[in-house]
Amino acid sequence: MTVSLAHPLRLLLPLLAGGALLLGSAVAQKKSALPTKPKRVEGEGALSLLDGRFIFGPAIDKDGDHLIVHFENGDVRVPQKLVVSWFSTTSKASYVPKNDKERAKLAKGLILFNGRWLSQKEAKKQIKRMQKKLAAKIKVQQAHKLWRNAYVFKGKNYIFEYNIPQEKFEEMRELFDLFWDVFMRKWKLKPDKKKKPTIHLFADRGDLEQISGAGGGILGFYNFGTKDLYFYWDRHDPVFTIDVMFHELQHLLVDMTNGNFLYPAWVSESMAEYYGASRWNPKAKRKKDKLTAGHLQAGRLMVVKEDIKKKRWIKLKDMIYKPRFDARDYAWGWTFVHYLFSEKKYASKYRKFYLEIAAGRGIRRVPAAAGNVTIEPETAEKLLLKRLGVKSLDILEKEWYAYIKSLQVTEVDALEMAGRYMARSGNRKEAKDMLSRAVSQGAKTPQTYSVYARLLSRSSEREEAIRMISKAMELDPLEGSHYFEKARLLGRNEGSKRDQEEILKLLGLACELDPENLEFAIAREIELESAREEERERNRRKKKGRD
Amino acid sequence: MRAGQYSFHILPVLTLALLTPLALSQRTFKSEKYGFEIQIPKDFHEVPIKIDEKYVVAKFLYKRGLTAKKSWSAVTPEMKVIIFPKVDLKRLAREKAKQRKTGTYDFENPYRSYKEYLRENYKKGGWHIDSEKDIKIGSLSAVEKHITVTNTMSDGEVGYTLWAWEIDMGDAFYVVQFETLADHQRKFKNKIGKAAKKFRKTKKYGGQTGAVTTSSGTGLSSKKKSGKKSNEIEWSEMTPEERRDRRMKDLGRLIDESEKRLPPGWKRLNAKPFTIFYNTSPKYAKMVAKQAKLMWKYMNTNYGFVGREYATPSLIRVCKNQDERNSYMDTSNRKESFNLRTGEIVTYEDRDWGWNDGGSFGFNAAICQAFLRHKNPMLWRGLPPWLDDGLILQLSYMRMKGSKMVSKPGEGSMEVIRDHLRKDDLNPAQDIVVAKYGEYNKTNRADDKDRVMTLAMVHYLVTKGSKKKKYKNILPDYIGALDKILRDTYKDMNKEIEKAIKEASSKDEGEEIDLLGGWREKRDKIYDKCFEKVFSSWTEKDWRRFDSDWKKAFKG
Repeated sequence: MTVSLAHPLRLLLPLLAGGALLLGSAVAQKKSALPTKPKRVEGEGALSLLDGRFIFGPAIDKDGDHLIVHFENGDVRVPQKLVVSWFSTTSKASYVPKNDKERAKLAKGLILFNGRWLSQKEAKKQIKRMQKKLAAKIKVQQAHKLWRNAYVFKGKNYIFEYNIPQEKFEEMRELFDLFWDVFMRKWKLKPDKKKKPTIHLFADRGDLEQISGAGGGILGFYNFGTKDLYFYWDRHDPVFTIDVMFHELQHLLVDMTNGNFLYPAWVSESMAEYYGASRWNPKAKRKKDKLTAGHLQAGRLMVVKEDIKKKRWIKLKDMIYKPRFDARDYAWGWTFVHYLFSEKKYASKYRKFYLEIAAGRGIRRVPAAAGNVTIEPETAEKLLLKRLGVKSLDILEKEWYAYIKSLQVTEVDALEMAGRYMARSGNRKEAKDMLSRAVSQGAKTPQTYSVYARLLSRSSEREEAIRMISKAMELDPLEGSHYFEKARLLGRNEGSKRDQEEILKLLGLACELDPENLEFAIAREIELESAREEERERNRRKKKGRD
Repeated sequence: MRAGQYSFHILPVLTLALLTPLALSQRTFKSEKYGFEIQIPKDFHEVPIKIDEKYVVAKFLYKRGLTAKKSWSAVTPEMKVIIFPKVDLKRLAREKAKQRKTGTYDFENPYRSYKEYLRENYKKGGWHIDSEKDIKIGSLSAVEKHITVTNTMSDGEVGYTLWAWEIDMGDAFYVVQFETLADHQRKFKNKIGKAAKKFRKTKKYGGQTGAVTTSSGTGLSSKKKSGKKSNEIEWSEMTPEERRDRRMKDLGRLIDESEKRLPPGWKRLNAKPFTIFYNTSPKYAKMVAKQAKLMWKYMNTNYGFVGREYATPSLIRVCKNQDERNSYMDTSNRKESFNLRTGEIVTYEDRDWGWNDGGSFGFNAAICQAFLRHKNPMLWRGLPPWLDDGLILQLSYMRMKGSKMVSKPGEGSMEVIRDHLRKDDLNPAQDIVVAKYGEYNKTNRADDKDRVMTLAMVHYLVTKGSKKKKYKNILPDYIGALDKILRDTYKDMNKEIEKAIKEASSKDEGEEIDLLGGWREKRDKIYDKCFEKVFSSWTEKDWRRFDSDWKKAFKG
C-alpha cells in the first residue's frame, strides 16, 4: 500500500512506520520454519510389516512395546504389533537387564541380539548379514511385483497368479480353499468344469487397472468366458478387499457348477453380495465355523436406507424385470436375499429355487450370451412365487420392506464399513454420522479415522479433524497420506496459529514414507518455497530496519 | 442433457513460436522444435497432431488396417513419438506456488514417465511389460520394451503388441512407441526396430521441451481465476457482435496454427463460411463442403430464431479414412484434466459404407452442435429428452438432395418404428413429450424404441406435419418457449455464478457448491412450463389424433 502525502492517512504515517517496525521486529523474531539440517541418528535399519510393506533405511530403536524409527524429518513411534521383524545398527542400547548375570554381560560390553549375547563386533556382523538377506528379500519382492515375474501357484482348486508379498499370499490362500469347501458343502455342489479357474491377485489398484484393463471404478471381476478372477489387495482396507474377493469368488464357484446357465442379474448379484459379507474366523475350531455367511453388508444397507428416506423404493417386480443391474440394485438385491435367508419359512425354499432355475427340469430357458442360457423374468417370477408359496410379489415385497426397516447398523465394525462406504459414494452427511458413531464406540481401523478426518473439513471442525487424523497416525504411523492430511489441515490455520515448522516436518515425513508420491513432493516444495519467501521477507525487513 | 459439452467459445490459441516440423525427405521426419529426427518406416504416413495434444509430437499410420485372426475388425498399426520432460520437482513446485499466488490453477501434473502415461491413456486392454533391455541408439541411452496387451475383460486373448524405445535426451525422455495387433507383430518387428534405431538428436529451435506439458506452453489447460472476474462473467458482458468477432478471431488463429501443422499431402479448401483441410480426393472434399454449407444454411433458415447470438462456423477436417480420423482424435490427457475442445469438426472418407450411410450422420450432428452451441448454448444444453434425441437425430439423418437438405430417417431406425407399429406397442406421444430424464427410455430393451419414436415424431413434424395448421408451429413454439423460460430463469445466472465462486473460495473444502442451483429440479419444472405453454389447449382427442397422424405417415 502506498500513501501519498496528500492522503488523510499521512497523519498516521509515523504510527504506521512504528507499527511496521514492530511488525518487522516481530517478524524478525519469529523463528524460521525452514528445516535445519537434521541431527541424524547414526545407523541403519529395516523393518517388515504385517501388511507386507518394508521400511528400509532409517535407524530404529526399541521403546517398550514400540519401535522408534528415526526418519530424517522426525521420529515415528510404531507399535510392535504391526511389525513382523526388524533390525537396526544403532548403537543406542535400550535393553534393560533382567538380573545380575545380564547386568554383568552388559558391563562386559556384550549385546543381547536375537536371544544370544554377542560382542558388538559380532552383533554388527550379524546385522549386516540380516541386512543383506532382507535387502535380497526386498529385491526379490520388487522383482516379482513386475507382472512378467508374477508368482504362479497351482493349488488344489485354483491356479494363482499374483504379485503380492509371498507371506500375504500364504495367508489368503487358506481363505480361498476354505471358501471353496464351505460353499460347495453348503450347497452340495460339485464342479463340472474341467478347466481350473485362475485367480489373478494384484498388489494394488494401479496394477489391477493396468494389467487387467479394468477401469471405471471396478474393484474386481470374474470373466465367465475365460474363468479368470481379478482383484487386488488393498492394504488400506483389507476388510473391503475380502468382501470383494468373496463376492467374485461366489460368481466363480457358481460358474464352476451350473453348466452353461447364466443367472439373471437380480439373482446372481444379490447372492454374490450375500456371500460378500462372509466373515472369516481363523481361530474357530470347526471348518464350517471358520467361514460364516450372511452378515450385514453395512454399506449396502445404508444405500437402501438413504433411498428409503428419499422415498425411492425399488419394487420387487422392477428388480426382477430390469435388464441391467446398477449400484442401487446391488444394495436392494442384497437386502432381498438377506431377508429370504433370514426368514425360516423361505430360506430352504429359496435355496431350492436358486438351484432349480439353473438345473431343474421342465423350466423354459432361453439363449443368453456366449452360448449360455438363462431364464426370462416372467418365468423367474412365476417360479419364485411357486417355490416360496406366496400368492403375489406384492405380498412378498411388503414383508421384504418390513424386514429392511428392521435392520439397523449398530456394531462398531459395521458402522465403520457403512461410514467408509458412504464416504466413497459421496454421501458426506451420512458418512459423517456413521463414522462419528463408530469413533465414539472405539473404532480400531486407521482408515475410519482418516476418512472421518477428511469429512470434518469445515473450519469449526478443524480441531476435531486434526484429532482424528492424529489417531489414524497412531494406529498406522507408517502411512504417508496421514501425515500429508494432517499437514493439509494444519495448513488451513492462519496467522500465528499456522505452525509452518510442524507442517514442513509432516510433509517431509509423508515424502519419506511415500517417495513416489508427486502430490506430497509438490506440496512440500510449495511449503518450502513459502518458507524461503518468508525468510527473504524477514531479512529484507531486518535490513530495512537497520538501514 | 447432452454428454460431452463443449465450451461455448473456441479456445484462444496462444502464440507459440512453432516451427513447422519439416520433412527433410519423404522418409524422414524431423522436428526442429523438439530436436529430433526419425525415419518413417516404409508404407507409413504422417498424421496431423491435434492442437491441444500435450505429449505426442509425431504420429504415423500404416497404409491399411490389418485384421486379427479371430476377428473381423481391422486395426491400423501406428507409430508415435511421445515426450516426457524430466520433472524438476523444485521448478514444478515453484510454478505451482506462483500459480497459487496469482490465482490461476493448472490442475494437471505432468506425466513423470511413460508408464504413468500408459496407465492413464492406454485403455485397449490389460497391459504389462514382457521384456526390457538397455540399449544404445547412436550415442543415446535407451531402454527397449516389449509390451503385451490382453483382452482380459473379454476373450482373454493377447490383442495388441507395443514396442517402445525410451530414449534419454537429457532434459526429457523421448519415447518411440509402435502398436499393432499381436497377430501381426512379426511382420513389423524388424522394420520398426530399424526405424526406431535411426532416431537421432538434432539441434533444437524454438521452445524448450518443457513447453510440451506446461499450460503456458499450450494455453490449453483449464485455468480458474479467482478474485478477478471469471472468464464466464467477462464473456457474458460482451455484446453478441463482440462475441462473434472474438470467435471469428479465435477461429482464424486456429486455422493458421492448424495449417502450419499440416503434414505433406494435406490441402486446404475455402468453402465460405467454412475452411476445410482434407487428405482425400478434391471431389470428396468438395462434396463434404457442399453438405456443410447446405446444412449450415438449413440451420440458419429454420433455427435462426433460437438465440440472439451469431453461430460461428468451425474448422472442418476430412481425414483419409476412419483410422486416420481416430488417430487424429486420440489425445493424451490426464483423467482429471478438463479437455477444452477447439470445436473442430472431423470426418473421414468412408469407403466401406459411403458418405450417406457412414460419415454424413456424425457430420450433420457436428454441424448442428457447432451451430447451436454458439447460437444458444443454454438451449443446447437444456433440451428435453424428446428433443435432445428426436431433433438431433432428425437433423443428423438429413441428406443432400440437389441443392437442399431433406429429412430422411435412417433405414435401421425406420425398421424399428415399423416393427413397433406392427406390434402396436409404442408409448403414447404425450407420455414421450412429458417424460423427464431418468424416466425416459427406462424400460426399453435393446432397440431404444422411445428414442426412435422421438425421431419419427420430429421427422413427421418437419415434413408432412408442417403442412397441418395444428402441428406446423409445435417445434418453433416449444423451442421458443424453452428459450424464453431458460433466459428468464437464468438472467441472474452471472451473479449467481460470481456469488458461488466467491462462496467457493471462502468455504472450506467439502462444502458442496451447487453452481447451477439445483438445476435438475429447475429443469424439470421448465419442461412442465414449456409443455403447458405449447400444449395447454390440446385435449386427449388431440393427442390421439397426433399419434394416429404421425403413425399413418410411417405406415404409408
